[in-house]
Amino acid sequence: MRLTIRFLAVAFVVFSFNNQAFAGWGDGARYLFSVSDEEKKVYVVDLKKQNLSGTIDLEFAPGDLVISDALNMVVVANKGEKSLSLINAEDPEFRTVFPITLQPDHLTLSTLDYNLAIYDETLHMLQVISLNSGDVLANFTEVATGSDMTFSFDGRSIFIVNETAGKIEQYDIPGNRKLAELSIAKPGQELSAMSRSADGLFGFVSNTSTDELLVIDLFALKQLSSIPVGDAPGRPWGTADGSMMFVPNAADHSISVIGTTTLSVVSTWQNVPPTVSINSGWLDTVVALVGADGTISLRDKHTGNELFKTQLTASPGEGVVTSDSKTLAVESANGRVTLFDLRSKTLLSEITDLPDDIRQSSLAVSYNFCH
Amino acid sequence: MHTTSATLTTLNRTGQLMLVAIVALVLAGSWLVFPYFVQGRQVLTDVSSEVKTEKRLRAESLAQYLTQRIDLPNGTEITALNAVPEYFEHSDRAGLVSQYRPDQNFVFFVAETTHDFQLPDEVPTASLEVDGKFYQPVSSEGPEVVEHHRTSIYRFAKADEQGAPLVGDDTQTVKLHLYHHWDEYVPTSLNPTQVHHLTYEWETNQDIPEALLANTLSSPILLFTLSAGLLSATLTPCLLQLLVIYLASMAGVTAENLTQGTVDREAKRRVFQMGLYFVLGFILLFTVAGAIIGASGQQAQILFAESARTISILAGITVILLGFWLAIRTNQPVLCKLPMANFLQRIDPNHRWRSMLTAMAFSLGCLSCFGGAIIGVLFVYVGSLGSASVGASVMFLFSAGVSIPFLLAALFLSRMTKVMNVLQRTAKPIGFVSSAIIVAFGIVLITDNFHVLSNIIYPWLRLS
Repeated sequence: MRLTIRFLAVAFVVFSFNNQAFAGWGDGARYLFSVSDEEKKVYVVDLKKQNLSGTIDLEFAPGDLVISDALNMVVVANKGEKSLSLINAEDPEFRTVFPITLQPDHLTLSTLDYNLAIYDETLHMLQVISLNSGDVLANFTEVATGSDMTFSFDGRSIFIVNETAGKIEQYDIPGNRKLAELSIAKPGQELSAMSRSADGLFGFVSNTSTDELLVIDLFALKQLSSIPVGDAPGRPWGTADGSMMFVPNAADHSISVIGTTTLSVVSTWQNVPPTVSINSGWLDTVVALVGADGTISLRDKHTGNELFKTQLTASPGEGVVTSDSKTLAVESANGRVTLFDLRSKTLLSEITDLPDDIRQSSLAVSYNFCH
Repeated sequence: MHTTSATLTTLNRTGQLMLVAIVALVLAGSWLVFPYFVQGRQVLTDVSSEVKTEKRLRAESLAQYLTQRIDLPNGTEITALNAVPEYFEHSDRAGLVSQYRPDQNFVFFVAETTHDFQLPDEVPTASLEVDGKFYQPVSSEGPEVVEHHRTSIYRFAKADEQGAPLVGDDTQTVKLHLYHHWDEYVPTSLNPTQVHHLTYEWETNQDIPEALLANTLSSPILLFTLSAGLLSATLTPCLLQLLVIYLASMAGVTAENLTQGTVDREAKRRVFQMGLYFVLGFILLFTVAGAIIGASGQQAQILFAESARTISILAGITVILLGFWLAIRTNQPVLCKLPMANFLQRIDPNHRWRSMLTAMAFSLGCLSCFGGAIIGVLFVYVGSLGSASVGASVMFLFSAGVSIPFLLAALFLSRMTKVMNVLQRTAKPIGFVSSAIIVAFGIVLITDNFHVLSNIIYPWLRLS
């Protein structure tokens, strides 16, 4: 009996203990990472405790920041020295400098977080490396742009929207070659970045010149349809369940809501301020609009009815929604991260004392499904 | 079986138990081949492609069936869609049902498209004609100042102010009348203020062809594929732990059997029965959960998210109590002296309902953690399941498939007479270990550490 009691007590203690307390910042769904150029630091916000958890000192002016949940790794680009700083999220003291041959102007992480795409704007080169092994998986030259790269669902391809040529280009990583390209617009027309549907089947690109949303079958790389939307559409944003795409139309202050089953406009939301981001939350019943003027508006996904509205006091970033879809975190240019509860549609808290230039707030595991 | 018996003869007692345990584990865990050989995400993507393509084609066909189009001489295209309740169900507008109430209203979606000039400001004026009488809309919605495209939505009540339905038995058609000056911004128009009048007509008794309403997911092959994908992509962690608790229960019940009597045919039959009722328990629970998910879709997702902890705690308490019950039945010290012990010793002597209850309780705990993920995966890959029968079928196929290895293990154990003789001599310690494992899993559920065991096992199995 004593043995029984001892066993149960130990089991209870072991399993009751919050194992995340030992993990440093390795909980990809809990810790928000933001970068400051001036301070040369990464700021870590604990979304559970709603406070600043700590900082990661860098010895260089940082470029892009990405977080790999699979590898528990924070990757920061060092543009000055053509290298990446790979920081262990569970123990930030443990880090390594990974030299590369390109200027890391843009970074994009693959779907499963193991591979990293690096683009050099000067050389127009794209390189894909394995964060696990450090091997270079592919090198591509004469790549027009890399500011908005999209990995395919299986991580074996990268799609790039080449606005100059009016094409989508598909690069095959295992084969280390340009696989295919698809003409979607006249050369020079203004195209947005591509957003991929949650299941990887469709890509969505806005053509701002023709006021259309283009739907691409990513498996066959062919255009399925072009959907007329509002005036000057921007980058589309998708819900996590893939049921809808939201297209902000800058010129007529509206948002076109596209149903992905019928690939048609379901409804149009009017009188919307210029939009920085559109993130879905609380199990896709709520859509969070972040306006360029600092407006935060929470709306019902189906009806578009406004459920909550507030005003931030400075220009906001895109923000990010946590993996449980409950919390929206938005950084703003006055050194704050503001948290909103998407379930109760309320303001949760504001985390202050961050530098004014804070940017690129990222979660390793988030509900954002833009691309 | 013969080879195993011969091997057993040459081993000592511990060796015999270890060998049988390993064989039982391999048999019960044989479903694990799925995650290795079936790429869950790829399977789900393939299913998704097929289902969504068919859904889209069906929705487009249905929309086409319900839509009429008029082209004006100035090149403006104006379509009107009679949005009957079936349309909302099969299109992307299902979420708008509560807003537009197609059961109480005639709902029309009017789309105007031009290519060369701007559309006129404001939405067109509309009226509904039924049996020669004209009715005004309850609501007219749409953007006012647009460039080339506009979609407007009109609602007309299906009953008049006295509550009498507009459409009677003799009503043949309903007509939608639209009025607007579509030449307003046409540069070559001689009369830009001219009001155009368009009429769209639909039969009131038209039946939508069955082919347009068929449920894509009724194909058994598709359901089976979806179940396999779900197993490989999502539910492996849940099943790993169900496997452990199953084997613990099997060992404990076998030991309990043998403390009560001899190793006879009846005892062996009860061992297999225990396995059977265990799998019936989780099949029943998963099937019911599937029905709920299929019927209520996103509401089920919200329900799981809001109630997950409560369900997990209740399930955990139930599992702990069942563990204590097993301990009492195997005459563990102190516990067998509890006030209820005699009563518990007498009820459910064949362990059937306790086995079923253990499986259901643990499966419920599993669902409290994975229910949201199951629904999320189904939403992403196939959209809303749309019906209780489809959801139940998917989960039934999944759980029935997994139950086969579990039953094989039970059958194997029930045939191992030599091992059961060994177990009879070690029944009490076996019973203690089994009870402890079951209680530990109950604690896992209560403390919301369901993923702890998976996180330990997964790297070892090279599963991700």
